[in-house]
Amino acid sequence: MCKGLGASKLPAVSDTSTVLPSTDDLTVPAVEARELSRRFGSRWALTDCTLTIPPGRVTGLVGQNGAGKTTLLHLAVGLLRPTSGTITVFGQRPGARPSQLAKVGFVAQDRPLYAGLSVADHLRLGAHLNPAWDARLATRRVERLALDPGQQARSLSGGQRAQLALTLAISKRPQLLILDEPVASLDPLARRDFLQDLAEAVAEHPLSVVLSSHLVADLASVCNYLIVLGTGQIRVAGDMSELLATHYILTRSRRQGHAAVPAGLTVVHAWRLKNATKVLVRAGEPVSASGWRVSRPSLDDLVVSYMRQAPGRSRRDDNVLEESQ
Amino acid sequence: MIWLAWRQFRAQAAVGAGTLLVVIVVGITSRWRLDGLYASSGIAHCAARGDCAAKTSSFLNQVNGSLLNHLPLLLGTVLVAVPAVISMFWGAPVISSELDTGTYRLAWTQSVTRSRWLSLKLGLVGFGGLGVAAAFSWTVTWSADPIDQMSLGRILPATFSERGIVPVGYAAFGVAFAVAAGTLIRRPIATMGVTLAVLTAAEVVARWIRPHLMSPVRTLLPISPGDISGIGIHMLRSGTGVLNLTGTVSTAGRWVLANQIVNAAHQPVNGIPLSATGPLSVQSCALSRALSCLPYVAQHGYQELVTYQPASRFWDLQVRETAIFLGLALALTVFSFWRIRRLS
Repeated sequence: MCKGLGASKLPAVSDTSTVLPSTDDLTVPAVEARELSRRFGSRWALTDCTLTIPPGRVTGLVGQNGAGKTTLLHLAVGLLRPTSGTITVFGQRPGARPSQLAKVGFVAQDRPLYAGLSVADHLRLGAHLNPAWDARLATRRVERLALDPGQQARSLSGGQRAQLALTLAISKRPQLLILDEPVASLDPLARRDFLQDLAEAVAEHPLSVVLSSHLVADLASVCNYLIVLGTGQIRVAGDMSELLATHYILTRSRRQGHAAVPAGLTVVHAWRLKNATKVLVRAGEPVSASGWRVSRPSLDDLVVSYMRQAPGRSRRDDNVLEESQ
Repeated sequence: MIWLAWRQFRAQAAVGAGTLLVVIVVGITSRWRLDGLYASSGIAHCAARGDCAAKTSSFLNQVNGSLLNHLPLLLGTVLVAVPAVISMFWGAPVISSELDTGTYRLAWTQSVTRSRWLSLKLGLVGFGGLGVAAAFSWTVTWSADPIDQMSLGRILPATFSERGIVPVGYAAFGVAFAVAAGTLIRRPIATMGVTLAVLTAAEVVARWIRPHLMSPVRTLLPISPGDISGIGIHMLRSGTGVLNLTGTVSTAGRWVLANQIVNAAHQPVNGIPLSATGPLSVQSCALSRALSCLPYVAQHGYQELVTYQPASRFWDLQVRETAIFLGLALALTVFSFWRIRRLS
């Protein structure tokens, strides 16, 4: 339908190239990756990932262990460099300049802290190394979390480490907060507190968040954007509500025999139960398929289906059923 | 960032400063003692009385006989280890421990680039290390000076690397190497081990290169009993023989690299042929009268060729050797900055 527009209304190509996007512009993607690949020795951790995370989203990055989540996040904060392809954060190469580093808060997977430095020392570290440091926010959080300022980091519990690391990352007042498995090693109570705390922090200071997890339940409560990663490739990415609205589960009893999935539907994954076959399909419009019972998938169904999808399989593949038990 | 660099370094800095303070106090008190010893020895007026050799040897005996008088020399021995200790305990952990414990993911994701992070860490540790090495070396050089002036001289290999500015060059090289090695090895203990091995090897190589930093002085001396430290006669069956002379190796004020006997054509000889009879013969040079045959050796045109570095070149050699190590340190530092930006 773009063809209908007069060419004169569009700016010339040479003009657009001179208009640089402002980094504070809400239309600049928080993270943009193009054919991003990263290799460690002979092993490819990430292959040809093309991805756009719009600003203002709380993004859940899910995938099994070894799917490439940490690699993708480290590329986004500039700790790793791409083997090929590009990644930009707010339009700039990660980690290149202090102003770019200031925009991104990062909590690494095992929450690295200086063992010999106290809680208060870590806050001082944050204050000295970050020009936009919010000392009031940091102090308030430490008080609320009941952390002893004089306590050394080596004697903090797992939950306390996670909270202190998050405090450092949030008090930097970044535009993008990247958290690698923030709740993986926490007990259920600490996990709930942490996620609630994160949700409150996001509500208080609008910012984009990307957090990885291998547990879907963690994401449902805080995320509104979803990326499923499987063996180094992006399986699906999009707004959570939109993804849930455009996927359906088709169920057919074994007794009814074989039947083809209606044309026009994209099969994501099919799996065989004891006496029924289930197929997760993607469709732009409501689905009606004779001989199949149509239901809405849970977030769990959606994520698991994409994670189980055979590697390298295009989402636009024809309707060949790939089945798993 | 300066705050973090200092916070991480301050415990090590305190140990270094404390040790240095002890060394300086020991050095100053030792120098006072030696000055007193010198004043009471009467060496200052020995030239008039003509008993300098006796006074000097009595002074050195008193130095060697007392631990307290000997302390500057012991400090010098400790100084040999200072560049290695600074490199291992201050330099090696700078990057390797961050990589080992994973804290680089905290440090390098603050609003400070890796280059700036490294420049401040390296600046503090590097200049701290150089400062300690310089102060330590100055203390040793100054407090041992009365002894060095009386003994064979500080240009000799045994003392050269324990005096002057050379320890600063070693420290600069060691710290720069340790930091660079840490970016490759990524483990503090292994980095420390490699640093120790490389620094030790570097000092051995330096000792080997040092004589060639300036082309040595070559002097022909007439053969005289005072310069000969060893005489050997080899009898041959034919009734003739070979006289072997060994020149004095250590001469006050000189670092003698070689001392050879040369013939009239100035070519080094392994031995001086002795005939069966005559002035320069097996008979006249028999071991009991060997010294008396030396004039005949001289008459035949034999001379002593001494190759040496004079004492006056102490600082010239110090500057050259230090410059080499500072150059290496600079190259290693450039490598570290290049490498840290590519670490991923």
